Amino acid sequence: MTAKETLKRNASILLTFIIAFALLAFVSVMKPGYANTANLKMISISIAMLGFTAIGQTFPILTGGMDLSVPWVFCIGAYLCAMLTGGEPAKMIYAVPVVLLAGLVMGALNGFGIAYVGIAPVIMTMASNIIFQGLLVGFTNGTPGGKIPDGMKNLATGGVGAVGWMFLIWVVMSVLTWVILSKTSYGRKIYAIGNSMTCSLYSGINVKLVKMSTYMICGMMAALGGLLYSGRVTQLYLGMGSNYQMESVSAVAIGGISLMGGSGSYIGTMAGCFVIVILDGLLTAMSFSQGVQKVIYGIVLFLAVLLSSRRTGRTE
Amino acid sequence: MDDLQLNHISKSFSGNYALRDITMSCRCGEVHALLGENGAGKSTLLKVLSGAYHPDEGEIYISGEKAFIHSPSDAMKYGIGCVYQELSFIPDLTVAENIFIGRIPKTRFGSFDHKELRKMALELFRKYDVPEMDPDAKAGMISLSQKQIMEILKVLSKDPKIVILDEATSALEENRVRWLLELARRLADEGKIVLFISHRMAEIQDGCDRISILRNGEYIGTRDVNENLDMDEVISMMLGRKMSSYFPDIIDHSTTEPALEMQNVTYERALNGVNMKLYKGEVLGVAGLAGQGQTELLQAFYGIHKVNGTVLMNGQQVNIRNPKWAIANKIALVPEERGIQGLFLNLGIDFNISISSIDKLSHALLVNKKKEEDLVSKYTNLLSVKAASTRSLASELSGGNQQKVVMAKIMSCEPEIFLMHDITRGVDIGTKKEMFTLVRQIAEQGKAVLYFSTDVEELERICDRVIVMRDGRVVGDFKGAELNKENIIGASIGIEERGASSGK
Repeated sequence: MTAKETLKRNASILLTFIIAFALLAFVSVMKPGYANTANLKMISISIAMLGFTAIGQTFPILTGGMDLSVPWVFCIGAYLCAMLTGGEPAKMIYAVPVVLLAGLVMGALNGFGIAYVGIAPVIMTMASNIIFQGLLVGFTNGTPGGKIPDGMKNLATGGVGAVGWMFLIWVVMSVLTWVILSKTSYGRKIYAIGNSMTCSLYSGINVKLVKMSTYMICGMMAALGGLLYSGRVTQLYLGMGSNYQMESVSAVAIGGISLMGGSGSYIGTMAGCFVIVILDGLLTAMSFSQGVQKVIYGIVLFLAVLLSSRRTGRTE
Repeated sequence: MDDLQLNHISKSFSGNYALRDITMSCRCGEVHALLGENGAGKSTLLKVLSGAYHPDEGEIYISGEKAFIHSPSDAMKYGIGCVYQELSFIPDLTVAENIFIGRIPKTRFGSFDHKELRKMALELFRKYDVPEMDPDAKAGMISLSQKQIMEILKVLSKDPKIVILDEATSALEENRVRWLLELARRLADEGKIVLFISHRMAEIQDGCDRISILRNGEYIGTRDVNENLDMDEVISMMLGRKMSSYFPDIIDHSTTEPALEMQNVTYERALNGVNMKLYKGEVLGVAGLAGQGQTELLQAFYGIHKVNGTVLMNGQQVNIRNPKWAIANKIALVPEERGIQGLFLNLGIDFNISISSIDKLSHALLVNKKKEEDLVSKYTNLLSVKAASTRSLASELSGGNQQKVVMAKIMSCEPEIFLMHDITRGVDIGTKKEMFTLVRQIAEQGKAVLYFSTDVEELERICDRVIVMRDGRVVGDFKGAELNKENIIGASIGIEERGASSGK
């Protein structure tokens, strides 16, 4: 029974990957020349960018929570990098740890409110998202200071053949994430909490601490995402991370992780990132109008999440 | 022909017979017990009667007429009302709303008539002498015992002719069990058929007129309950073999070294100055009427509640901060609600057993799969958990096997002090016997067991000593010859206060 279920779950992840590549094949046929090396590299980098935030988002969602503060933590990550380095590559040595620490602190704030004070995750992270926005806008007067080191641009846009450096970094981090979630005691505790908070408590798990830590990981990944993204744009702008709020949640859900928490695999999240980015590219390439693009995109995400929640729906 | 007649009922699931050619009958005006081990087919038979399953073969006759029961609503039409073993209520609705769900009265403006609903609920409570129940309380907030009573009332409010009580007493505490037995008798006197399922022999002897026994999906026989009833025969009919003795012979291994101690402990309104000692090597029973602080006593020792007063472990004053601390310091609890506090129902047996010792099984955070498998197989073998594989989901197991998994999880933490909350609730007789033996073995190894049970006979036969709680205090302490049913029940309801020195 369980073996059959595991197979079924893996089959659905495989199906998600197949859908992603079918979409890519479709647009390549419709638009000859679309699948050239440069464009494929672009796509791989976009997948990685979404991927960093989706890695983070996987953690709170597995506990039955959600982090909606990704966009402005992302943005703060990018701005901090620019401000701290002022364009000097050497300063990255301390800029990177500071950005990661900032992400951890912002995540800890979310996690504390949710796990220890008992605020609903959606409310808590939505509110902190606005607060982080306010802090950044207030601090920068709405105009960015600092400069991104040139090396960052190479890292963020370069690659080998059709694969961006970013994509390779993401794959490495994905392996790490997969190991953490499926092979460690910490991962076990996350799944336990997502299944039943009460039973986790009675089983001797420090439920509050583990829950808080998932938001810290999510915050850290969002800030890191922002830092890496900053090399991709010529000029930093407020709202850089806006897309990643819903997209990171969608990637996790499309990949078959239940939004109720406690079931699904990180590999599914990777497949979800492929689907979202390739679909986005397809809609742009097919030159639909902006409005039509948004509507189709919204409907597809809705259906994908609906199907995935059906798939992983609890028996209860 | 009798008032309820089952003829040659068979039902199989993917080739395996759950029921095989069952022919039996019940009469109006009787309380009829259905006995059998878990997996004997009782639940399947009930589900056939209540329309949840359709039998592959056979017929059902009600009052001499052939009944066609294809759905729960058909069953209701024939006057069959079933209180299931698994409670199904909506926690956010009130007790009254849950009872009358689907039939809530409306005002002439079309909105819910809360006043009328309350009146209907109170009328129902009066009619059946329901002890202390608030119709406006949220169903999720009331005790397990009250939830069970609510489910019973939900069925009775539809005024059924055939009332099925599937282990309805297992969630009830002693005084409420008596209420239900009286209720069953009264319903029978009104000319209804009461089909009663329980694993507690004493209840069946007290409250039922006839017993029918099922084993492995087959009907074994029916016996009248009277002074000639041979319980040993009934048990061997159930098991298909002779059971040497239901309760083990006990040898007192208790020491004078206290493992746990409370001095004047208070907690909200539940504990009002508790003084007690639990000694190493001892099985200390906790008795009392429903809701006198027994649950809170166990939970306090497990760090679920922040209590005031002094708590000592091995003679040292301690602050049991949370379950994590308790487990690390070798205290473990078998919790009250198996499916909520004890098990991750949607996860495998292996996950459930290893989760409490997962840190011990890991090196540098990585779980050692080999060690985990060894631990799981060690404890599933020790407790003889019956399942297709160790990856089977906890929700797929029978009540008895679920309890064994909880026990395996607790034992894998290698505790020195066991807190056990009614471990035989909803558990078949074979498993019960295994549990009793296990509890005695634990005490023999010099470990301490605080054993709460709602079954007085069990306390009398399993424990070395029993304390009785009333109103958040220890009001009785019985050992040796004084340890008997009469003293326990007497102290529970407060007619005799003897031996209340409470180990101070």
